[in-house]
Amino acid sequence: MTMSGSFFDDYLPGVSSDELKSMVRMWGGRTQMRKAECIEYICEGLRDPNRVRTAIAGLKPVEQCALALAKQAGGRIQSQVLAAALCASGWVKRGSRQWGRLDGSLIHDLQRRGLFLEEHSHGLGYYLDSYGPGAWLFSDARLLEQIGYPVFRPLDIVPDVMPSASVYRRPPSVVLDIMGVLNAIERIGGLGVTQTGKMRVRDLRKFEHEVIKGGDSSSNRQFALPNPADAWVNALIGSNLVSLEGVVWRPVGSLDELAAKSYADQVRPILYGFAGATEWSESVAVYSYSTRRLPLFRWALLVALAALSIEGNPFYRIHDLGWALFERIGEAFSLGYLPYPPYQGNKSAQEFRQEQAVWRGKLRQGWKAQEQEWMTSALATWLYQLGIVELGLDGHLPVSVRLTGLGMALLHPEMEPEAADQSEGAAWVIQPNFDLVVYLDRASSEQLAFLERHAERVQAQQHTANYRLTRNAVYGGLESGTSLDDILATLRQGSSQALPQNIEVEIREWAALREKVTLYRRARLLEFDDADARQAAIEGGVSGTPIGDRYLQLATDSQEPARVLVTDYDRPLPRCVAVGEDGHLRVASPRPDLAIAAQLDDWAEPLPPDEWQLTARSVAAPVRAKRRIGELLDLLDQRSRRRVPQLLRVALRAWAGEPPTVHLETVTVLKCPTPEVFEAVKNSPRLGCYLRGVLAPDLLLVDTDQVGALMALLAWAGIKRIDRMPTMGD
Amino acid sequence: MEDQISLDMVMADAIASRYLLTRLSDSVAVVAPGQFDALLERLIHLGHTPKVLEKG
Repeated sequence: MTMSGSFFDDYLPGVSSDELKSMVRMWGGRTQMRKAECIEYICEGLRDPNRVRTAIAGLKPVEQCALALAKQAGGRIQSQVLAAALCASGWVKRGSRQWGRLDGSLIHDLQRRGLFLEEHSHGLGYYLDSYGPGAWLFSDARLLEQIGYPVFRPLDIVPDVMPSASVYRRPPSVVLDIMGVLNAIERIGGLGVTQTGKMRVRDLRKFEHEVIKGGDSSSNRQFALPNPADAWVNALIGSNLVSLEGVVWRPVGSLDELAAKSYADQVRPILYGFAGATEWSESVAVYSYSTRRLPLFRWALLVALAALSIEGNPFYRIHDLGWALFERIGEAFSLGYLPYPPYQGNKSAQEFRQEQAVWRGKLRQGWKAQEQEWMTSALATWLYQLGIVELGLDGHLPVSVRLTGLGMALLHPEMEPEAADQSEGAAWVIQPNFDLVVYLDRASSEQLAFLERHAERVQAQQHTANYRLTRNAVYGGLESGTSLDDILATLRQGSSQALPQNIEVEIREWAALREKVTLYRRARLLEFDDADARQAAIEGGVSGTPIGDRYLQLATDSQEPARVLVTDYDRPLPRCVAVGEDGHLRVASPRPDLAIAAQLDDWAEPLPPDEWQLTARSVAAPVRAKRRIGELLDLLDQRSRRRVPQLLRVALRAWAGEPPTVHLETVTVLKCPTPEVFEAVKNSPRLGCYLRGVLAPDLLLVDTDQVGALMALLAWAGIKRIDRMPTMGD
Repeated sequence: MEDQISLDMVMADAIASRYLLTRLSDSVAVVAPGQFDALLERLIHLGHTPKVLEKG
């Protein structure tokens, strides 16, 4: 038998000796053992299934319940969530349930017992998190393998009378919703996350659009999910139905794989996904800062629902259920402010009782204002939407609740699953106008998954759903790998009547249309010097499809011939262009890839062979057609053998309509090769009014209008003037 | 593409032609590097339903 999940072995060396001495007792070890002995003893025990069975049989009900809840949560559970669920289970004594006592004992006791370790800490007891769901705890997979379903102490509530009206959702409608949101994520290409880990707003908007478009009209609008897109995203991320691939959340597996499971197995991950959602609230009664604590209450509510007596499957008043839950968790957990319990101190027994009564009164007040209201919202939103509960109505108000068949299957897994409630008869009717009416109680999950992938859902009612067969939907199905024959066969199998002839003809035409254009993501193409060389290669055993005069698309199973120059177009293409400052481009011969000529043709005038010329006209044309000059500069940067000349870059930008400006004027320059003369002229108060600046250590800029006056003064000083300035070549 | 006319029509579309690098024959063209998905989206927008194959 193979086991998945975490083992304690690697974590135990990080646990302190004191804690290990406590943990080893479960396996019959002694407290005198040294640390290494304790670790070895615990690991030995975990390796032996018989010893694991015996150890589990010796656990207290609360400890067994804790393990069973962790198993239900997938092997890992947050400490505060576990604490709240255990309190709701009825196995935690009242005295140890109070705030301040619970954190320090309940979870730490389970850890010291050897049942849980923390995921990101090697010590024990670092789970305290008063404002959130706590640290992640995990149990050893070998313990979880042997533990059964959780057992809860029944809630002591009297059943209510049968309501005159009730509402619930049928499993096919629920499954349709789940498939719909998964399909929507697939359709929009996944949900991307930003560098900070937040969901991309653009993707969320697309998803919201798809969720609202595919909204299920079968469910009562009154009990709709608030912020449905947020709700589904939170629930899906908390489930194992989507996973993060790089920076995109995508569905795990196909809809067909999901559909092959029972309704309970399809809904379970989403149920616990909703239960664990920390960034979505079902109720306006919950302040935004409290949403991180909602998983505690959702888990406690699930436990409370499972702890209701199901004999005769009666309805219970929501009001009673809420107060019963208060009795179990109300002293330790609150969505708002939890008053600290009074201390006995030196008070008399009577004074202490009075203070306790006042304290409990405050707790009840807070619970009534917040938790009771939140609980009604939880029952009347996600628990209703997921088909877990049936709501008894007084007018339009939900006043009582009971588990549906699906709810029983999920919260009472110990019971024999009911036989699938599937009626006889055709699953759908296909009309000649391409509309398809599905009878939800007759359609299997696989059939619903098929329709979600091959038709467009128009709407869904309580018992029926309407789809439309469209070219795009059928195309999507064909692209996902379904063959034309399979599509036609599945449509026929679900229908009691023959497929309308026009439908079959049209679907065949759609499939044929798909054959007209083929896109290869990775084609292998051989280029030859001429047709003769290609023919010789084919005769030499290279197989493929000839294209044009010189190309051959290699067959998928064909080997590339030896001694070929390979260009992988997924990698940066070769640097093969010599770029001149005058815009002249010369490409290496033979051209190393198919792209370069086409890329240069877009921007430059061809000067065969293998040469191009960038001109103002050749650049302006693509820019007029909305191409960006940045594309050309990027192309030259990527393909040029050397750095692109700066002057050409300036010219290209100018030709594209971004001309830089320069100021040009004729100036007079005074060059003084002798430093002594240069300094004397520069610093002279008499000459200063004729000078406009210093250009270089031996060059002065002269005011052209006053050259005559300056020259007179220089002549007075005996400085001889030479008219010809030495040039760079001199 | 199935035939020359089909490819001519795609090349005549200003946006689609931008995603095509060069034409190898009457009915075969090379997609510009990195533009595969953009071309696919454009073709669907133009009413085509291309068969997408990973290798060929």
